[in-house]
Amino acid sequence: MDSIQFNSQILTLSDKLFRLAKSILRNEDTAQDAVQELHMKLWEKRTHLDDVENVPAFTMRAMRNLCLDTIRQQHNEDDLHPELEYIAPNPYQQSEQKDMVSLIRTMIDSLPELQRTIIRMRDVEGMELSEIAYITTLTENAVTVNLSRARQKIREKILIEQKRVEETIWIK
Amino acid sequence: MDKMNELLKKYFRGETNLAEEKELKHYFLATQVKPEHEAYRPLFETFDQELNETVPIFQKKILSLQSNKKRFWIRTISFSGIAATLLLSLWLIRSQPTDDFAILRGKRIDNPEYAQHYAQNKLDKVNNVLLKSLKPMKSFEIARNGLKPVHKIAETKERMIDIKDKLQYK
Repeated sequence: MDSIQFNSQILTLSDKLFRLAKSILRNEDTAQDAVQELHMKLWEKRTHLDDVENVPAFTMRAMRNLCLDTIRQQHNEDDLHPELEYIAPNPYQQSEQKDMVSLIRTMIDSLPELQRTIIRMRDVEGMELSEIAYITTLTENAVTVNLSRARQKIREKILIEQKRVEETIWIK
Repeated sequence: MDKMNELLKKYFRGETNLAEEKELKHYFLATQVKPEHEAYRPLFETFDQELNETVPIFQKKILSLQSNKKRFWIRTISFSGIAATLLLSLWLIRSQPTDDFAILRGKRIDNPEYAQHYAQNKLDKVNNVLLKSLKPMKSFEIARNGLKPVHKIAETKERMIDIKDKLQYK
């Protein structure tokens, strides 16, 4: 793969890779660094990319693996649990989270890594189940199960949030 | 049952295909949704907004793609190339033959008429010097011409001796 092919096949995926990295790492700066690091690694091994059948899917898979390695390193260094727990926002946080969109982002970010990666690959990127299965190294059935769980969890949280908002309005 | 209700149920079960999901997105983003569906609109708005997220300051990231070592060599070669090009251009400009100016006593003269006049004066001076130098040669010529009678005396003397010898025999 020469530099022109690299630009057209890999660099054009940058935004997609960034969104995937940001979803997994939940940090914009770390996600940018991860995308940059992946570009560098792929550039160094660009001669091997000619043998890859589906370059975009391969690149997304490499991005996810690199992000998971980063999380493992962070986990070892900081001794922090990689998953966030979604807690309903207090009144102060509510003023910070101006709309439901940012609230739903937080809800998705609070899902386990696999579920939030799958829901975003499907609902944001519009990827086929087979592609998601390849990237996550799961079967298509397992992808469907995780997608369903992720969507149902988000639905429950949205309904709880809606109920909470209605109660607040009723009290006022 | 309402089609959208059915689609939403399928969606949350993870059973919708991409075309059905596209239909749902269109419903929630481009049309007036039913009140009972209003709660789910922010979900599809979130997906739509996230799709528009791009790598911030992507250009900077591309520039730093190469390793430091590679960047050092690329910069060194680039700067060397620019410097070499500038030097070559300067040399070509200086060495390019042109009639538009002349160097007189280390000074650039752009007026061709003045330069021509200056050259003519110089050539005249050279001519005068040569003429002066050749003057003694003319004197030599005059002297040589003046000596011609002297040569004739020798010839006359030889002839007289010859006549004298002839008279003695007689």
